[in-house]
Amino acid sequence: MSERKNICLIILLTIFFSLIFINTAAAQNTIYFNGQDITSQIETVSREGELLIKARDLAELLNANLTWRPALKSLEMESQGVTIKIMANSHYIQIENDALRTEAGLQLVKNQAYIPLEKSIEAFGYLLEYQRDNEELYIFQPETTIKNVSWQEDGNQLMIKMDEITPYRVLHSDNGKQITVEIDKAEIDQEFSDNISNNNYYLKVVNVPDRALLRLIIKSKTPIPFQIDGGIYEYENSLVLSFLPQLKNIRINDDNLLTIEATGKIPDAKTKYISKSKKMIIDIPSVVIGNFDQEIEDHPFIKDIKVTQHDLDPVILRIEATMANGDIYKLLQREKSNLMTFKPGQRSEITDLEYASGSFSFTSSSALNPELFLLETPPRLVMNLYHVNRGNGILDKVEVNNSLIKSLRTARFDEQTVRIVADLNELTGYDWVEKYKDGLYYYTVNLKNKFSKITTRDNDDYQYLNILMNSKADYEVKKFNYPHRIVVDFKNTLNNLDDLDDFSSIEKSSLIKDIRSSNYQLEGEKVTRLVFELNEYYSHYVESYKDQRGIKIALAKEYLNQEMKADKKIKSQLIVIDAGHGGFDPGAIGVTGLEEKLSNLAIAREIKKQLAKTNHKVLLTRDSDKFLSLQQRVKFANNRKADLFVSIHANSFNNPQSGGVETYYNQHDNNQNRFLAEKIHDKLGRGLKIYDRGIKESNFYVIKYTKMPSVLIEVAFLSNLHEEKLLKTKDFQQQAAALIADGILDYLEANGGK
Amino acid sequence: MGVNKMAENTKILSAAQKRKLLLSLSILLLTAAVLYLIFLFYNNYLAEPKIEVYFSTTDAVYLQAENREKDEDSDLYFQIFEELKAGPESDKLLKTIPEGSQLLDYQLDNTLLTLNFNLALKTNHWGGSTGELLTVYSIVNSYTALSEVESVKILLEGEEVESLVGHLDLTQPLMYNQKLTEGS
Repeated sequence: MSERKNICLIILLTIFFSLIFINTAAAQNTIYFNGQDITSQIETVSREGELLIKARDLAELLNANLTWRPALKSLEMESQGVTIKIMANSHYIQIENDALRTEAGLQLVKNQAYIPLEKSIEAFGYLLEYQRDNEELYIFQPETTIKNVSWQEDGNQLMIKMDEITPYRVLHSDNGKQITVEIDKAEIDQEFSDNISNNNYYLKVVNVPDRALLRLIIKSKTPIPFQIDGGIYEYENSLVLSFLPQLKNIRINDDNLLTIEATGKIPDAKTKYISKSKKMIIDIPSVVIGNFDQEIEDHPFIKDIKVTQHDLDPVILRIEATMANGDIYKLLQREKSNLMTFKPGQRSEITDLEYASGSFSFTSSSALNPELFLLETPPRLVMNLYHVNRGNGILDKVEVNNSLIKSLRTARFDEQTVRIVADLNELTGYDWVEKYKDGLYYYTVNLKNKFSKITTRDNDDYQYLNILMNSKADYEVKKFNYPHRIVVDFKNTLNNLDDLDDFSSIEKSSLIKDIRSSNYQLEGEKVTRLVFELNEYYSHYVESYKDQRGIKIALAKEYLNQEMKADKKIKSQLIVIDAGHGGFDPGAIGVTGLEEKLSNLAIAREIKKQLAKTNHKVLLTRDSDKFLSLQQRVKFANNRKADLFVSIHANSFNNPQSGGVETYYNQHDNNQNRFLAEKIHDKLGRGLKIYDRGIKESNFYVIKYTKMPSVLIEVAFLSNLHEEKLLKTKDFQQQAAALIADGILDYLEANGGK
Repeated sequence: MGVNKMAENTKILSAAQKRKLLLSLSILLLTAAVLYLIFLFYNNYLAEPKIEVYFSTTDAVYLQAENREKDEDSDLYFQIFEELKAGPESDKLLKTIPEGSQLLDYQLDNTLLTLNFNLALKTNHWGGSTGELLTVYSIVNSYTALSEVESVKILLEGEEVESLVGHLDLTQPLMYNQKLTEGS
């Protein structure tokens, strides 16, 4: 019985000890020294959560002199002028005059001294990087030393001087008030003191021990604008961070001049006056608020000044001055780029009052904030301008007598106000635009055109649509397919169609299915759009009335002759759609990782689906994620004698702000490539609702060597966060595909069957 | 008498002095003229013209050149690529060469310049037609701006490639691209 007990005990003990043994062995990391795996050359143990290395192994590794004083149980190690001391039963490593606390301190294992690896190697100036995921510890010498960090150029540039530039990255905090520059494999110079904060920025250098990098943290009370021209660049062996100039002070001097000073160049600012609240608003681009002095208190001219960071993207500093008596301040000629000086009591002058059909315009020496309103009897448009004088050549009354305006009158209304009155034939809509050029502000007031009558009429061959306007019509007629429709966009035109009796009573004919109108935004301009939905379409032509007050659209009722009919029936074409990249070639990679090859394929497949509804045949160069050389793509289309070739791509550039859609063609003798590009881009340019970068000619491989009309489309930019997001969505892919398919059909219709 | 002789003596001496003065003056003038001529000649024929290095406008539409002093100590062709890599001075321009790119060697055959780059030019490239166009033509335009280069052929690690990142045809030598520099 007792023998059995003994055996059990022995077994238990063996298990217990082997568990302990395995446990220590499991702590083993893979350790690299200057890139070499030295795990097998050194002996390590783990104590109190710290990795210890046999002191002799470390000395050998670092080529250090090791002295062991058995009586004191103390160890000294010297390498390259640095000496460290460590004693048993002490937690501290002594490095020259400093002491570094460790968890385990010196430990004796099998009569050998083991010391904390991380702390002692750091003491010798090495860097450590611990990759937790695969338990690998890297030890290496720093590749660069940061010698100095200093402010340059009046505090707008921070220069980080180092031995050489190692990989670095710039991180922004979410609230924009902190920037962190991480520099890999860097150590900081012994002499360096990080007492470099200035008036606007708080700066700190932080060592990140087990990631072998240094962090330079810059904090500010206000968001730090950090953009393309306020970014980081490399200059010799320095990293230079540029910040936008900051507001330094605002003051009024003895001559009552208002002066705004910044720490750097102040770009041209925009000044506005709001007469009601007696305010002057100065919007200064690319200047940030910072800590500034303001020496204005109860001045006879200026009651109060408020400074805000109006916007950060783009950066705009707003200075809002409340005037005591509604005077205006005028910007004086700039002498220094960092100063802006305003002189009081200056009034701006309006000059060059001119008129055209449906509009009048004038210039002003400063920006105005006009007030416009209509008065009914007699019909007139009134424009009040504040703090202005009438300049030379501004007459009291000008007879205009065009289709909208009878006359223009100007007068001083009161001490503050000049009034312009346009006498109208009848009341209509209006808007005004301001343009700034060479120190002058140009104002144009547009009176809106109106529809006066819409009628239809027909004879044996044609159905006519007659659209009559009040004044000269500015219009564009477009034909869309699938379903057939004629679209007319009228610029600067009031949508008064609902007021026209005859609009709703237009008889729908065998050709016209429906008529509707909408207000539409076209390239930033508001247009009134008339859409005629057609049941059937053969051909049409457009005519303008003689006085240009209206248009006539004639819709053919039948193919006018058999030849035309034959022409219009486009026979089936072979269209090759080429999804760019694929397989091991991902193409461009988006900001958050979307691979170009994927969105290319999705759009290509979608185009095929769209065109499947027609009588044309569509082939894809690739219908899966596989690699094809450019030559294979070209051969694919050439060998099959395709009629059209359309290559789908997504763009990229090393500026995250770049964005938009562009279409490339290669110039051939017959201009078919360009025609195809024009037809497709006509749809994409306005339909995708992203920036239109236009049609471009280039010698890209797949459009150069294909023998049929071909284009390459860069749908959007993957390097642009917003557009990458779009490219991921099914909606955007379908929309792009539909526009491309529509463009292809338009091309075939215009040049078809060749 | 004595005084008279003295006066005569001084007169003779001063005549010799005059000649000397005249001679040295004319020598001075001549040297000045020669120096001036040398200066003119040097300026017109010998002074190294600055090199032109092309970068992208920030809107990624055009290429625009910046001038650089020629560095007498380094090879012109390598210097141009170093300048391209270093990027523009103006903040209205952007660099077009990806990190880690290196010009390994080059060869000028008549007016065809063959440039052999390492793979980083391709692998570290951000891609896209626009990206590729601006990178390739910033190189081509910078080199074809030299009077001795008419066209440029790009190789990667000694191999001919269809294209850098999948768009532009690099199997043929490329010439100066006027269209990309128009708007600048």
